[in-house]
Amino acid sequence: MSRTTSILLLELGVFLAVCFYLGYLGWKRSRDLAGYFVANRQVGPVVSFLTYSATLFSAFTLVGMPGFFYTHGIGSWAFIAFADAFMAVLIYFFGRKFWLLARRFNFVTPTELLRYRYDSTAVMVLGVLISTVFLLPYVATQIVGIGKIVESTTGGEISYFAVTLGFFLTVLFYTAFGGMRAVAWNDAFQGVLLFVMSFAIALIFLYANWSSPQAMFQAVAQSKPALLSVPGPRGYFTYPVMISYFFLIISIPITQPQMTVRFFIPRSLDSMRFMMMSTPLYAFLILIPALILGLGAAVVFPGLASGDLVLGQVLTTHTSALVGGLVVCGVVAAAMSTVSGQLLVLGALAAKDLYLNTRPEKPRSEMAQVWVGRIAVLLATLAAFLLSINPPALIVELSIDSFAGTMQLVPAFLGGIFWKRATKTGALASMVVGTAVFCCTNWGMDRQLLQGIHPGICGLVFGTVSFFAGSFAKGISAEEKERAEAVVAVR
Amino acid sequence: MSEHNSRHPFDDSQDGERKSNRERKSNGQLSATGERLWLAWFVLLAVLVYTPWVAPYSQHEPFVLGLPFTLFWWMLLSLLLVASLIVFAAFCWPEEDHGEPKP
Repeated sequence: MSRTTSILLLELGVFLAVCFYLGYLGWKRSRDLAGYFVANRQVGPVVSFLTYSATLFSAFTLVGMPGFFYTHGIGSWAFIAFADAFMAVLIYFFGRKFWLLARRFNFVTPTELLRYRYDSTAVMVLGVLISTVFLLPYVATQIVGIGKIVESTTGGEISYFAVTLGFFLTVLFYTAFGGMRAVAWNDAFQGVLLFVMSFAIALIFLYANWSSPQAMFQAVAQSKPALLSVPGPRGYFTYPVMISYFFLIISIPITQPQMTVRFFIPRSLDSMRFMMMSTPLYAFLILIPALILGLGAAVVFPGLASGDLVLGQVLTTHTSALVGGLVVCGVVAAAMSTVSGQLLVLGALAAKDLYLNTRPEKPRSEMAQVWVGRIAVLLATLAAFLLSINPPALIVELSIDSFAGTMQLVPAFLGGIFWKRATKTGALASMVVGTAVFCCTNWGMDRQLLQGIHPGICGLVFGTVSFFAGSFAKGISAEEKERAEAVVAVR
Repeated sequence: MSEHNSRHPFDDSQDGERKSNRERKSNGQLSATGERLWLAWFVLLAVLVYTPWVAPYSQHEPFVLGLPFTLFWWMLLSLLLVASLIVFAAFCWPEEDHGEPKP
């Protein structure tokens, strides 16, 4: 085994040991269902902010984003950085209300809110199905890029299969046993590691090649001027594309359940306030390294087959084995923090919504409910692992369109909590029509016809119209009206 | 303890009626008008980012610190958004929280 591989294994071993230890600490305190899935709603401000940010920023931050800057240039900034920061606006206008509702009605999953608000198990089940179909492939493909980077940097001494297996076993341990508390603590640790290592690798790369950021931009302006323009060398980032992605990204806290559930766990509204102040700053800063790596690599490594290879190239040519290994740990941390949150919420959806909520007549002890949750997390992890070994084309496509798919839940969620007249007919219509239109426009027609507008936006427009039409088509029942008033009144 | 601090965070005894601006202010909450103004400001920043006439195509001459104009403009607006959110959360966040467990 080479020295590089040995050092990487040692660093990964220490990193994983910390993850296991935090998982063990969480396990000791997960004795009931609320403790397991929402950490008893007692997470403090710093951990609330870090778990939110780390869950949001996946391995895409260091693997995919430099690739976007490398291939499409500065349009990538408006594509993601501004939109990610803008998400914090929703913490006040949406997350705060979700926090209040979750405490008042004891919700553990976002789709429980749909069930209560619309007095309908069908709405909840459909919400769970849409979330799962578009989330599970996203979980599975998170590891693909990392597995390939580790395999290439170690010259194949650590295989892709070994990376994937080790990754999922670690996540399974601390997620299935430790629950939300372990996930949140791990997220905090992993979020800091990602942040530090992102800046470390970007600054090493920048000052190894240029004397200052200005010098780097001048080099880009001389050799790749199209990267400093909009819509970029391939004409990708037109304004319809950027605006579409803006809406796709800002819908994430509403419709991606691993993000929504982060609004359930802060111990106070002051914790959420801190989350709102810190998250946009984290979002702004964390994408600067991607900008440096992507644009700089366009000058230093022109002609790479794919932008996703930027990080691997920088690691193999600009860092020592020690630093390179730490950066790989940072990328693994980024993926783990996102995947653990997703697996826990997938387990919660299956255990709480599909199993426990559909059989309320059967009394179960708190520990029995926690074990149902653990088994559900185990099954979700197993499914994600099997899909990640050799992901079929459909799985890759579903993962790419994860945000657009879950975006079709926006009318049901927003209408449900802000509009008293919303009915279950409207909610069901919006989810069915929105998802159908999205799938048809995404896979069934020529994307050129949409002029850069994302199919997810088309689905959302039709889904919203269906939501209003469905809500007005049928009168609201007395029970539904009572619940609507109870939900909308909370502020 | 001040009056607003003694109120329960789930006190919606108005039976779903929108609280008046005066009541919201006495509760430490931002008035509905204030909320709308802040929202309008955030939306304005987004509009400025995604409007082609303001952040034009094909501007790649170094402007400040070597940044091309469009990127400089986007980063400036992003920073303005971050600063606005911090100010908003620091001074306009409702003081109705006691961190109490669910009733």
